[in-house]
Amino acid sequence: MNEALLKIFQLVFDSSEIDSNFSQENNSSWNSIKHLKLILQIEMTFHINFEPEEIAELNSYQKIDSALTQKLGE
Amino acid sequence: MADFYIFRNTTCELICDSLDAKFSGYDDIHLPLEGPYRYFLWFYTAPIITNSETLIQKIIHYQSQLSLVVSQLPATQTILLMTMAHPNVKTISIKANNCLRQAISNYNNELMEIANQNPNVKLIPFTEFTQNTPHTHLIDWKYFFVAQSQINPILADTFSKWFKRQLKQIELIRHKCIILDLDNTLWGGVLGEDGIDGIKIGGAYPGNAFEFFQKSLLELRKSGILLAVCSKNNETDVMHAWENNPYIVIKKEHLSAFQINWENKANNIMAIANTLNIGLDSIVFVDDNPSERELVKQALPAVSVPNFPEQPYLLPSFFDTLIDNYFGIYALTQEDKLKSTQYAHNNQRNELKLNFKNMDDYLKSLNIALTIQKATNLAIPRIAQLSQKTNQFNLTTIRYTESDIQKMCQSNYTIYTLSVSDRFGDSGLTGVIIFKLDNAQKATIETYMLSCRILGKEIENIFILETLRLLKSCNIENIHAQYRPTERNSQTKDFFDRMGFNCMMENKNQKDYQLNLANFKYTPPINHTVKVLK
Repeated sequence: MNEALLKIFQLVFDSSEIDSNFSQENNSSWNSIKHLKLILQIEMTFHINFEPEEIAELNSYQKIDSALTQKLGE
Repeated sequence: MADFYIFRNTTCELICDSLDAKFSGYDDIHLPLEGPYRYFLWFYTAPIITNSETLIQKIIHYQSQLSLVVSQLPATQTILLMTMAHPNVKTISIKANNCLRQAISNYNNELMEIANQNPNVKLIPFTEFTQNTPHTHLIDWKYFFVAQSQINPILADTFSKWFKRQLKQIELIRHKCIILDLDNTLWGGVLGEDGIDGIKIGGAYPGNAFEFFQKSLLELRKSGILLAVCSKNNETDVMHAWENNPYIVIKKEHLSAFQINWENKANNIMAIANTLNIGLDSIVFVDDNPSERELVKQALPAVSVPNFPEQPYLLPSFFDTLIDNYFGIYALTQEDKLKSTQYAHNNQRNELKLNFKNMDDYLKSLNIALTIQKATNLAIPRIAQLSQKTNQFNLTTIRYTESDIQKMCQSNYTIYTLSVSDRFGDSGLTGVIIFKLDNAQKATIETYMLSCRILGKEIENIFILETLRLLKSCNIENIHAQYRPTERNSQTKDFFDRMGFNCMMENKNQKDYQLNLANFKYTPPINHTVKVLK
């Protein structure tokens, strides 16, 4: 697991129990405000930019992790 | 309940994330049913609207809305008003831009006037916050379109710190006394070594910088802060300097206390605190010497000891930080009060400003027009989209695709859409009700949802009642409905009950309702116009 990404999740969701299955579907606390906070933190930390279409899709740890890997690889 | 109840016209949840707050609906000035709240915060920002005339009218209207809110809250309730900053849209003409600036200026003056007249109302200069942010940084258009966030969400941290400082000032947590060293603090050089003529005060640099600092401190004294001196010097030397050096601005008569000797400064500070009968935590100690500062910090941790600037030309910014951190005071000066009445008289658009006596008046003034019609083909994408995005005012939260809606339109479903417009423009298609026609006499409300933009103006009541009236006229007698609780839709928990439905069954997963239309009586609204299109 990406350490920095994990830290962001822990920060946004105020929880130390984040695993790779963490998603909007299985966590009711993942609302639209938290979603945006997550995206904002990731953009700021990794100096990348997500487009609006991407933002809507990034609703799980796994999806974010792969999108991140892809963007950083570019 | 929470610290803040925030009246707002735009999405500010992201920037207010650090506050323990509940938010009103958009443009919704109904008072919350629960409480209590430590503060009510009025956080209206200039809307991003392309037509500057509409924008100006809305800003004027906000003034009336605010007056109504203030008049409805008790005088014991603290109300904070955020001033309005200029929006990030370019107007097409300079004239339009000037009119807009004037409108915002009038708005802010109105806020000041309200704060003037009501001791429970305080002003927070949001304009100061935005002025310290580069113009381009204030809005992130991506997040405006994705989340309707008018203020760049990355400013959340900065905003939080700034806002908390403002709150501190409002709570009047203000230090009472500043204890100053003399040598290299109030003047350049060391009196004991350089003599009364050798110290740098007044004249060229650095004397002019120290003089500026002394004058600033004198102004601070005028606002009620006590000045004191704690210096390692011979007292007679200092008295001599105060009496004979004309450039020294702060003299004996300006000081509430002084300790000039060769003793430990911590002891001296305690002595001053005793003389003035103030707590150590209300004292700020200013000294250029890092070891003196460290000693006092260690010995008297309650005393605030800021770092002192290396260069005299940094004294003005240092003084600013003293104000910010220790001596900022929330108060309207006499001058401010004078200014605001002047502007009130000059308000050229007085004729458009209304005074609302009650909510009915207010609603009427909005000229809300509802347009209800059966779903057209063109509306199908929007209906599906609404079902995907609407979380709060959504009774069953069923998500539909376009093809779902299409199929429903072609089978035993009746779908009505709602468009809303008011004085300020058209919000478009913002409500949907989906009836499943079980048989010739019975229908079930499968979906009832409204965009949060239009809540709080009784529209949610009128739309459903109108459509029930339409169904009744088609001989439907029996309506069933259901409420399915989710994380987001708790505000609709008792909605059907309020509309006169009978709750037949309730468990943790749903509430089932039934309504007999035979007894259904519908009084058309007086403050809204309703149009039903064929």
